[in-house]
Amino acid sequence: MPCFDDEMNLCLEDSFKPPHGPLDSNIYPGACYKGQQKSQKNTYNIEVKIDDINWAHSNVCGSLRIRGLTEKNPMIETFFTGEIIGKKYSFLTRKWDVDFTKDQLHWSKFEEFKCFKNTFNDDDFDHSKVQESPVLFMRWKEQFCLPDHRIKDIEGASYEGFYYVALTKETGDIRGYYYAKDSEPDQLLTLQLEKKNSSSAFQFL
Amino acid sequence: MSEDSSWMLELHCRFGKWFLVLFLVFDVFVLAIKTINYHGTYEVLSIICDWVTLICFIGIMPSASFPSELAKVKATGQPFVDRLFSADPQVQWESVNDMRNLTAGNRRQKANFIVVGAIPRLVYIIQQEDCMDELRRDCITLLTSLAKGGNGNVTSLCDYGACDAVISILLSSQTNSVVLAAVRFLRTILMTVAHQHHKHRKTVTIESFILDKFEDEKLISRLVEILEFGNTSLKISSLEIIAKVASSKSKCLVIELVGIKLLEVLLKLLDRNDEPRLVAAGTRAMATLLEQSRVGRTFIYVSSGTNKIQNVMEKVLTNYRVKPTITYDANAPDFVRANAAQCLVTILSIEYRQQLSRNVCNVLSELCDPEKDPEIRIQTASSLTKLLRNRVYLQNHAFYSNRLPKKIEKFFQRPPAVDSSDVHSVQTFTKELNFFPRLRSAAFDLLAVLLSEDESLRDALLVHSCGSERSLLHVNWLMSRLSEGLNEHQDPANPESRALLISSLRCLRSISRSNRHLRTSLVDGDIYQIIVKLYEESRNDEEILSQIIPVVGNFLVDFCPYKDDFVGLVTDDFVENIKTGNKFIDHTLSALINMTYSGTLSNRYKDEVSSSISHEEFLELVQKYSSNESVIEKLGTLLRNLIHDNVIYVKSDSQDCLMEIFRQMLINLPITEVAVVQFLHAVINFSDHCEGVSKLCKDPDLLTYLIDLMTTGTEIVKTQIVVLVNNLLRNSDEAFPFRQRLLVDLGVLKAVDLLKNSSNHKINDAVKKIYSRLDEV
Repeated sequence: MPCFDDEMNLCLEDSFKPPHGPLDSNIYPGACYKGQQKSQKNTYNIEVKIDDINWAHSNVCGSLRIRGLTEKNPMIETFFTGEIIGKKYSFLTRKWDVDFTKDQLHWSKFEEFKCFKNTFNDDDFDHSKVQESPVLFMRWKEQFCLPDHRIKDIEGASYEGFYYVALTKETGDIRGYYYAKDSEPDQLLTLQLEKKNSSSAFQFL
Repeated sequence: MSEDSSWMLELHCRFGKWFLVLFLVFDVFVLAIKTINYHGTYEVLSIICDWVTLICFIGIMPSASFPSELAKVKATGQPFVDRLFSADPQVQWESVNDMRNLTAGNRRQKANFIVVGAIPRLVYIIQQEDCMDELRRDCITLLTSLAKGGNGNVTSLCDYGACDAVISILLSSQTNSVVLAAVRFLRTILMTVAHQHHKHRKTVTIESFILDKFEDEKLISRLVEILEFGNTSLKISSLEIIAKVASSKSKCLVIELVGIKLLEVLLKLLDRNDEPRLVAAGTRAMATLLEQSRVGRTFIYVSSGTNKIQNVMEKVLTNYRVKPTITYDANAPDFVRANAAQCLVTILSIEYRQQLSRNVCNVLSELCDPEKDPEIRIQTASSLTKLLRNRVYLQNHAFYSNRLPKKIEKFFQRPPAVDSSDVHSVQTFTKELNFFPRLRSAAFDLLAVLLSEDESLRDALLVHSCGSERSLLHVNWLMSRLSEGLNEHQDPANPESRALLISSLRCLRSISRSNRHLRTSLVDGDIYQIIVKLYEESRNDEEILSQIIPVVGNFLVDFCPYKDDFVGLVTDDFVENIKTGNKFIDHTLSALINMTYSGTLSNRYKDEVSSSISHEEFLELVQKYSSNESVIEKLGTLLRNLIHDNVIYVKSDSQDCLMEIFRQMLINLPITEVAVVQFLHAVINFSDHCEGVSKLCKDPDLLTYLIDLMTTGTEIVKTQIVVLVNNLLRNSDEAFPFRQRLLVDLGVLKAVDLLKNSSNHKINDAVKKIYSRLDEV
């Protein structure tokens, strides 16, 4: 394998899979992110892999691995689906036990949201402005365990909640806040894109 | 002349049995003499054997001699046919009327008259110039009655020239009653054969033979004339004939010859008429005409009649929104709406209008209600399938606003048991039962379109049960129906069960376009095992292969838990498809692309392909398909995947075939922009390996061409080239200074200068790094 003197963030958007995603975002099928989730007491290592993005329908999905959450299961992997905030999905979640206040509280933790803070609940809110933002706002919801989707309960762990996520388009850095009704508040997720210099593609038929 | 009812059969029926009787009498006589004059035990045994053989022969004789249905009847109609030979027209007429009375609803009697030779005599009578109109009318009516007896009867009528004779009378006669009889006869012939065609595929030749007789501009013009001046019955029958002829792709040209006139007459007729059966027939004919692309386009473009047709059809839809209080046929208003909506769907396929499409979607969804006639539900489901294809907005509208899934679910419900004493209920039950397989096929086709694009719709239909704790016990209704549909192919010769299988595969294809459902719903429904078995059984069945390959293609992505099973199952077949270039090459290439797309560091799936297609063979393939846009794009993508993170593939290319492919695809041969992007991706992946960098730097012509693209290419191409240059400069090995010098000499700095103020941050980042790496020069 060649040795690299530095790492370059040059992975290209997958052009085989139409419609093309924006070239200037650092999120694409196959993208891997590594980082941590911090609660008040603990820090867990996290790996996220994006399986697929459908820009036309503002959907994203992938897998999330968390290490060291429970003693019995050193690594837990879940499948998540995501909504990209924009014309189709607004900042208001309207499900998963959250209301306007909780949405506002969590989104406001992101600096880039501040320009939308007072208007995001307006009827005439201009969603095209969200697309111009330097970050991509998303909601990620874990759906089931991998590889066996039939496992419902993991002792000492829960994936009932969801993440408020902001991805910096220029760098691919991700920040997120986990929210669940009965979980510890303000759990911070920070991830960095694993940079690659080549890419591959797939397409559903 | 078909084998079912030839003149030989008739001779056989009339005289053959007398020879047989004579033979049997003679045989009995000889045996009787033998029995009387027997000599010893051996001869007794011989005689007993002879008697047994004779008795058995007599026993099986009637059924063994004549296989056809016609041959089973006894020639009891001979006296009636004899009276047709009378010189007195009055006697002939009486006989015809007697025969009409006898044949009403009696298939056996119809066959009987055919066997004793009624058809040629009736044809002879109607062809006579001095034949009375009344006699001619009743003869044609009798021939119509005979036609209703089954496919064999229709064949006999055609064999004896009845069709030609009646067409000739239709063209020449001015007597309304005769014309009506002739039109009804022709309609019956067409409809009977069409009905049989659905039941038995083998009758397709007869149908085509009969349709040939309608390929006559004069005949179609005459039918159009009838539409203008005839009475309601005549118009309905003429419309049904026109619709039937138009639905035959090979014959629609003749319709086109009189197309504009026909359109005008039809629009007038629909604009003014209130008789539901006539409007139903008119809208049916219009829908069929519009759906035949050539005729439809002629109508819409040549007569610039889109608005005209649309206005009339919208008016019809509005008029029939409320059912008329008194109707001859209770379903006619629904048929009118279904046909009018079908016409509008065709117009929308040429000229899309959102508001209109939503209105049509509403009407069609309403006609899918479970209480509607099954034929109407099938027709509207088919129209909805066309309307919703590739229109996500409408799919969502139909899904949520019209609650289409609930209605589709009812398509899979067998008709409930009814009170056997109620004739109407029994008739409805029988009809629904007969249409049940076609209802299911239509439902799967509609679901295939509804779930093809939007993951949220797939989730809405499939997630609620598979995500809950009940999922182990309760599989989602759609997955249960799908599993049944995919398993229901025990009789490959049965067209209905085959159609159901094909539709199920279409539906499965849409569901399989989902990372989530590949991992959940399809596992819960045990679909993978079914598809493995079905693929193994259908390797030589092109119709099924055309539907199953895309499904398997989706099962080959990384997210499918059964990927390994399918890799083992299909790789050899798919590689063979590509090498031989068979008609599934497009889909098989996509499937191999999915198979070689790997989110992990493992290259085992890539190795499966690269061990079957050598570098030399890949070069031959790109040369062979360079003019096939779709295939060459996919070959580029496959190469991209094979090279990605696969240093062994690059190293093993001893003949430099990969470099030759890049040269040919990017410099020598004209390929599409999408293909260029894919081959550039392959070059970038190639440059991710030291060996690739070294080989690229030995080809200044290719590099010069690529650097030129930095200024002349599209945004994505420019981004690709700066990424490529970065890869070439990334490694600080011994040859690094050489590469720096080479790239500068080839004009990289000049090209990069033009990109330094790009608004694309990815280009900006790469440009900064290129400057940094070239700084030392």
